[in-house]
Amino acid sequence: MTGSARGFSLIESIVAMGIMLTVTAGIFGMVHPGRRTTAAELEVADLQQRLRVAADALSRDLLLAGAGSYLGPHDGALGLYLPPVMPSRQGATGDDPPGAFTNDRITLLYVPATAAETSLLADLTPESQTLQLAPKAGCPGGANLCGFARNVSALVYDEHGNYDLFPVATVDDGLSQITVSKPPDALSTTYAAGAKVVEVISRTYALRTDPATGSLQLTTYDGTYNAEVPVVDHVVRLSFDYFGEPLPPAISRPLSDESGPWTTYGPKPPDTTVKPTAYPAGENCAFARDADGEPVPRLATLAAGPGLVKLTAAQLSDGPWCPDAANANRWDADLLRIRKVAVTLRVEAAAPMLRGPAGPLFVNGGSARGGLAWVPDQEVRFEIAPRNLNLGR
Amino acid sequence: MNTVLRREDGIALLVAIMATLLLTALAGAMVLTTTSETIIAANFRRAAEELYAADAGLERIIDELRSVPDWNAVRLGLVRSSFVDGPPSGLRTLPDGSTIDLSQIVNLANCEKTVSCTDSEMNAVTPDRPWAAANPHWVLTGYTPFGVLLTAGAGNSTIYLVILAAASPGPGDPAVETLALRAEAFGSRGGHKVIEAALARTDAGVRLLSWRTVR
Repeated sequence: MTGSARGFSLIESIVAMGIMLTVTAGIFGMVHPGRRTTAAELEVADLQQRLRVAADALSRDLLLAGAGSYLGPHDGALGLYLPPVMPSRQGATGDDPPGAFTNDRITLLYVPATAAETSLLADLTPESQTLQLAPKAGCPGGANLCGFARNVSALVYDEHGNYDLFPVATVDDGLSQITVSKPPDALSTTYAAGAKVVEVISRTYALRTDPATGSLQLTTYDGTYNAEVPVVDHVVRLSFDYFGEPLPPAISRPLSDESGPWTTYGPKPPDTTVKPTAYPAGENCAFARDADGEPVPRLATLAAGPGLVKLTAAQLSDGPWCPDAANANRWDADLLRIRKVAVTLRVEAAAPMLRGPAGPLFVNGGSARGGLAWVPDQEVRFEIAPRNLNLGR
Repeated sequence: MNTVLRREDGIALLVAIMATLLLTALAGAMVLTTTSETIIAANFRRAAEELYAADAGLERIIDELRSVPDWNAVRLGLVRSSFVDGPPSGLRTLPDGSTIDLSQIVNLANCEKTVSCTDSEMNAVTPDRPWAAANPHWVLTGYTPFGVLLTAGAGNSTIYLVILAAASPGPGDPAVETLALRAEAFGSRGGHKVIEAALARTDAGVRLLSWRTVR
């Protein structure tokens, strides 16, 4: 044994181990919370990105809601004819009942930039699924129905408040016909020749339980037979508030004029001798007639001022009904008042290990102990004034 | 050599280096996350600003159009907005140093090419321009740094605004004068937002038929 390798004494070992332990404990004391914070920060970034994606998707469609056609006799924003913003799920499958109000589902309708705009050439009877359309002028190659294609959603609407959304099944360009894959919703409605037919985008935003994880996700549904598509995961709250025009609709130009819009909003009253709905002749859901036969609004004045008022669930689901109260596809005329939608959106951290006990910070409790690893739910509220519902303001 | 291996003087350095590496990696990941988060948030904010700038520009032009007696002159490029900052072509430099070319913007809107478009290219059916022969043939109407439109004290803007006009894809009633407008807002870092609107002239003034975001 040489002198330089005589080993350590017990004291030396204990002291060395003590120093070593202190140093490594110090290092781990810094690394461990660092790791937890890093995991939490990554989740915060992900959570904020999910919020942004959801807010972006919703605000884009809300901004466009109500964009109408700009060809033919029924041009202008959809809000002159039907409700482009509906507080319920509307479409071919899983429809909410007519006139329903929910505060966590919204359906938005708008016409995209499309050549698919024409009108009915022959009446569309309730049992028919074949639409005879007026050939369009100006289609390339002498086609009759440019723009219409399989799986496009076709919106048929008239000036009495009737509307239906049909998924297009086939297009026969030679005969200028399209067949649709569902009959009209309202079995009593006949759309007269001249009713507008246009390609439309329908978007229903709602929450549903993700079968894979059991958590809630924001989904969008296109109004056809397609299933809804997830937009963002781990959304725990979605609610919509509606703000609208306090004044009832008014006649803005003589009803005898060739082109509209004739009203400040909503469908114009029919001629005094015409009775297209269950309302008395010359009346519709937006306008009644006074003793002199002059149109007077059927809707109430909600406030005096020009500012918007908050619309309650009752106001949006108690009538007066368009086209009339017996129609299976009826909608509350007050929906036409909507000018602004406020969206409240709350998302949570995906991993339960980053969520603390259920309470104000967490809708769904998790397994996280200690504030360092907590990623509280984040909630945003934003208001969108759909431009096409405010064109006259 | 043997003595070097047996000596333990360097162990503290080794432990310190490894600990530093570990902490640096963690800190690096954290910095990366937070900076990319900041950049994403800034881009999101700028995109919103550009959309509202394009919308505001559109409103200002519509306001001017009320007093223009003949919209044909507008869609032919004979009458322009008062918001112009030089000849209707050439390069403009944005505050972040990037440049945009006005002729290129018009051509891109008309046929998705940077060089001049032929009539058949402008009438080609694409998802954004589905109206064939009725496709809008855009001409420059207004082009200005957005800040010029702001009232004094409303803050600065780095956005450049370009407004194009054309015949509306389909005047329903030939008696009604219609016009299509396209507002493009260019922001820093390549931000770009586009809104298209169709308007009609009525006895009371101007009526917007539709308002759509394009990108």
